[in-house]
Amino acid sequence: MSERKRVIEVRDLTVRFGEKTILENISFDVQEGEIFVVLGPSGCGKTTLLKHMIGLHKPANGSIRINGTDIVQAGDEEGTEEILRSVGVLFQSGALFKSMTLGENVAMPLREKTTLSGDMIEEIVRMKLAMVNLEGRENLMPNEMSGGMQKRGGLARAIALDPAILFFDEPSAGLDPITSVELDELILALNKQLGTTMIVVTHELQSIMKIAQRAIMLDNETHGIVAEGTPDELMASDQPKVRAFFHRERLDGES
Amino acid sequence: MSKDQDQSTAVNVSVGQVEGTGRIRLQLTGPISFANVDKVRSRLIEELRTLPSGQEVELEMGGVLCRDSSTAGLVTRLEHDSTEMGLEWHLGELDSTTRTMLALSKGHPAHGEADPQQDRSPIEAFGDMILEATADLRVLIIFIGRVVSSLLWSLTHPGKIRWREVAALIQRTGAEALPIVALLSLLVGLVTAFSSAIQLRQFGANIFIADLVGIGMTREMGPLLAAILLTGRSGSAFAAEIGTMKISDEVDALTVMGIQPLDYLVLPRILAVMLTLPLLTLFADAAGILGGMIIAIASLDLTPLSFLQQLQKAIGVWDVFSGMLKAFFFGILVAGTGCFRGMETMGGALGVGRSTTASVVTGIFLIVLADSIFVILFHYLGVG
Repeated sequence: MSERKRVIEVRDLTVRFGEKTILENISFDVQEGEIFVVLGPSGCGKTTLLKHMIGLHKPANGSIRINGTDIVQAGDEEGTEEILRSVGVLFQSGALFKSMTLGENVAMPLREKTTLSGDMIEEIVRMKLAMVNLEGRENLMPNEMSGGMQKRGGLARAIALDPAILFFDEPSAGLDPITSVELDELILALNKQLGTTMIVVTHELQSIMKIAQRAIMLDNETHGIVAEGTPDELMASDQPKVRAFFHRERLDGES
Repeated sequence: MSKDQDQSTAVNVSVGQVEGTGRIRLQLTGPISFANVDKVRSRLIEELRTLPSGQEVELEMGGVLCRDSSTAGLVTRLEHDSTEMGLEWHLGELDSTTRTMLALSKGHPAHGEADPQQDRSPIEAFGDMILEATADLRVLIIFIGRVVSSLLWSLTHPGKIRWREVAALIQRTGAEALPIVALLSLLVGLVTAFSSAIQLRQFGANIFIADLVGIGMTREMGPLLAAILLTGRSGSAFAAEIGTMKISDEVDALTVMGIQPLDYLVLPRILAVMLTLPLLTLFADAAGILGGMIIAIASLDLTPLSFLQQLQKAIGVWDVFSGMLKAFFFGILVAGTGCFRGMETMGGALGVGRSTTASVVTGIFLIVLADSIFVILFHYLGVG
């Protein structure tokens, strides 16, 4: 793969909660326009890594650069706010604001962060909802929507400001296989059409094989990266932990 | 009960010696299930107790009928018990269910890292508690600092405040709380007056009921009652609302959009309660005094006119104003604690419950503490 511009650079990232180490000395790059997957077993710190990459938590050590700006050092709110303008996040549960309709949810970043007129906002909301196949559903409340719809709604809100980088936290968690495939296809389509860089945290094997262009695998014992490469490379890996994950085996070799 | 007993008596424990060795064999036969496993266990433990330390024991369960995981639990428990008694434990033949259950559970050993919480000495636990409390305090101070700076900032940028939200919150925390605040204050006024009426009558000081209820309500009871009620009614609601948003990633979603959760969620709530609590206090004062007046008329033979005239002499503007001033600060405390507890919520529905409880407890504690400080402060400033 030809060397593209590096959008995110993570160097020597170490994360601790109290005395418990979650991640230790992690370094990797994400290139422009690629779908980059962070995978690993439950509890290995995938979501924690994601929340650090968007600046929600401060790491114990290390640096995270988004488009060249270090978000660990940026520290103060204005610094991170600037970077966050170029970033969208789809949280695990969709994280739609339960007190607002779907339309209001998608409109919210537009209302708060742009000076667009009400008509324009309405138009853009309609467009974004159409992109995620939820056209005409503006007036639904989140609790009237199914899990898959909530995620698509969350995605519509995440892409409202047309971010250059999109983060996905377990996009297929809690979805049936069909809905999950639909969401994967949506991710692929958005990546292709908009050229958005995407960082996806997941442990769903099918999803990884379908969407990932490059992936890193985290491990909950060494707290580091055990493997890095394209899905096919990982699939062919003979490292026991990687093999076990990709071939759905148990590590001790039983069964 | 009878079924239970039937089952346990159907279980047979026979003790014998394994031929050619010094090993004692406990042979277990019969149906074992969750219903009788504890009885079987105590019978076996009785048998084990009679054995000398260092004795080799073998449990033989080939003749056991079991369809649940009771026997597997029994076996692992007994192994533990017998080693504690200093016996040497062996497993003989097992029935198929027990074997399968044990194989399945042994395949997944307990997680290697022991929970450090488990074996702490009381001193360590105390130390941890202090550390936790200081960390909590640190977070609280940071929160207060940010709220204050946010409040000051909003004073210079009033256009940026979400006034529509503030108005809705005023409706919810103020107008809707009015009936209950008024009712409660009326009752407290009645009770205060009624319990002091007897004493006052003995001294022929009936008329001073107006002073008592008037000063008591305006300076202390009014603001305290309103604030405590609002802690239970709105402070807890804030903690639960924000806590739920926190655990479902909604607060993070705000941050990611570049919207400060503090400005968006906390500020309107503090502003609303800051404005409504002094007004609620005014109503509480009036309702409490009304309660006192009812007793004055009903049981102290005063006329409404004489009561009101005495009231006018007894309380001044400062009495009412100082109560409202206190209420203003109580309001910041009530809403602040509610929001703070909400923002630090972690760990699912349980966490929300914990924050809600903590918001009420901390809220009421802080109100009483602040009230004491105000009393001392007013006293030394010569205005109390």
